[in-house]
Amino acid sequence: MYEMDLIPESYRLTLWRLLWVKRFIIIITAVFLCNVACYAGLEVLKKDVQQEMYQLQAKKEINDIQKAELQRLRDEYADYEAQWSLLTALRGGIQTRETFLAVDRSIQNKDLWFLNWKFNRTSKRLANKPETVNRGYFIVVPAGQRQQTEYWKSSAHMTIKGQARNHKSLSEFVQRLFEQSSVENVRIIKTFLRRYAQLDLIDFDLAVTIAPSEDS
Amino acid sequence: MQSIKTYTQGYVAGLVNLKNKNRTIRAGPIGLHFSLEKLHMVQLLHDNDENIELGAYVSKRYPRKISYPLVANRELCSFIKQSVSSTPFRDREVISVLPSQLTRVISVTYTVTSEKSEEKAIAKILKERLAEDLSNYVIDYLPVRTDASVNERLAIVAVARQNDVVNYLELLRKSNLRIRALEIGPVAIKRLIWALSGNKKDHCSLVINFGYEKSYLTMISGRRLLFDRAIEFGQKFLLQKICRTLEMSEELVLKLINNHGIDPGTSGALHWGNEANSEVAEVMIDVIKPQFLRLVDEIKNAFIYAASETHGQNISIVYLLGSIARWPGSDRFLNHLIDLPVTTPNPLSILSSDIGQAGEHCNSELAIAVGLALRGMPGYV
Repeated sequence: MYEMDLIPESYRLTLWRLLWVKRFIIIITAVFLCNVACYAGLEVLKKDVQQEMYQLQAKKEINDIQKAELQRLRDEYADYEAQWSLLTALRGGIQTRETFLAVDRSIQNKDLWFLNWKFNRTSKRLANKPETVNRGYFIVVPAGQRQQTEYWKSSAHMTIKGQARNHKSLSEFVQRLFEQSSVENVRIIKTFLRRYAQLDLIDFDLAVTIAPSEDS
Repeated sequence: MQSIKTYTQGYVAGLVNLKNKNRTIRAGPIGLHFSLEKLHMVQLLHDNDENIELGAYVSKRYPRKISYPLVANRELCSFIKQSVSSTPFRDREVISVLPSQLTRVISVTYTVTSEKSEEKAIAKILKERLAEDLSNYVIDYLPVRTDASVNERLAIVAVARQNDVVNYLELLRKSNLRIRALEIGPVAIKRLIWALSGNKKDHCSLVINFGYEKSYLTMISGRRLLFDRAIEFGQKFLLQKICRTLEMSEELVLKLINNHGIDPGTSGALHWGNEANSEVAEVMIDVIKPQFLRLVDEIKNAFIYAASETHGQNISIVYLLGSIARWPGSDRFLNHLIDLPVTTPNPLSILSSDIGQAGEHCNSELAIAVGLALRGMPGYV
């Protein structure tokens, strides 16, 4: 059955196009709104992450300050340790009494005497290098020995000025000093024959190095 | 008050449809008709068994007189929107009719040859008749005489200016309505009469649609629209005649007609006595009878035409629609003049439910809107 319709085809086509334009606009608007929503969501997320980052940065800064403080305290501790070891070294080591005994044992008769006697005790800061193993091109440092450690080496010197009746007495004295276990070295700095009216005497300067005792 | 009444009518109609929930009920398009004074919209429903029911309808007077051509102005758009939203329509798809002021309906006899198709033949004739470029017009036609053995055929052609059509379509579109089809009044009337006749193919009827300035004679045979012709006979013409003769104002004359009718036998008056009523009606008839006799001549011509087109088939009934059809007694008066059954149809009487049986005169206004709404119904497509 034929039915009448006075709607022009061009109008229907225009309506159809308008419909698709509307749909397109709706889709574009929807996509735009989605993007805006996503952007807003990401912005919020970014803000949260930034906030968290700031907090972590602040914590890190606090950590750095604490690290610096810790380092400072460690340095101070190491300094105090060094001072302590120096003090310990100064306080300990060679017994003065034994030194005197060694010297006393070396003097067997009255042909030698002392005019001046100086006793110096010193300490030297020394580095204790880690033990390394040479493996071809590489030098392997065993774990736990990566850092150089320091220790103090204390030593004692004696400078003795004296006079002897003859060279034999001086020689015997030096010989006996060498024999003492607490004496590391004896060096005759100078000898000088001094003439007096009645007799001749030998002036001498000796440097005695006492055997060291190590304190790290 | 009018809007409350309208809404109530629509609401009651909606409730009726909810009576049986087990049925699958489908809504057809809204039939939309701009009459002279009112906007009419009707939506019909149908179920699986092809029972047709009223979905919703609205019949609302314009806030002010409308002018033609109809254009999409804010006031009219908001009036349509308000009318639609205040009624429980199920959809916004409409089938409408182009106002008769904007349409020309012409019967065209054309010859089809092997070289010339129907469309070309009709276009050629129209070009000669209109003496204008056809691209400015929207044209569609309904074949009336389609016997393939005969080269000479007949069609009813609707012609409207494209600008007017587009303006009208834009009015509906801007009123948030989706337009499915645009028809002419006679086609909607034909569909309604086909439904009123109980789908009888041999039912030949004449419909007189009274307008304000012009009236239209529409001849229908079964499902065929035989012809539609405008005649210089309208309410304005009759009222002016009565006003001049009785020296009364148009409003007073209309009031008298509505109270007393134009049939001496009518009992429409409640305020006045029957005797006085009869006297007023007789006076009115004396004045308008000569004019009606001119109408009768036109009707007789139509009878002759119908007999020639339907091979001697007689018109069995005359239906009256429009302004003069609402004058009490007009059907009986015309029946007296032409000696044929004349009736003012109640378009809602085609429905399965009895919702529209009351207020027949009011319902007759919905004739074209119902005819349009029927286009979406099974059996009327």
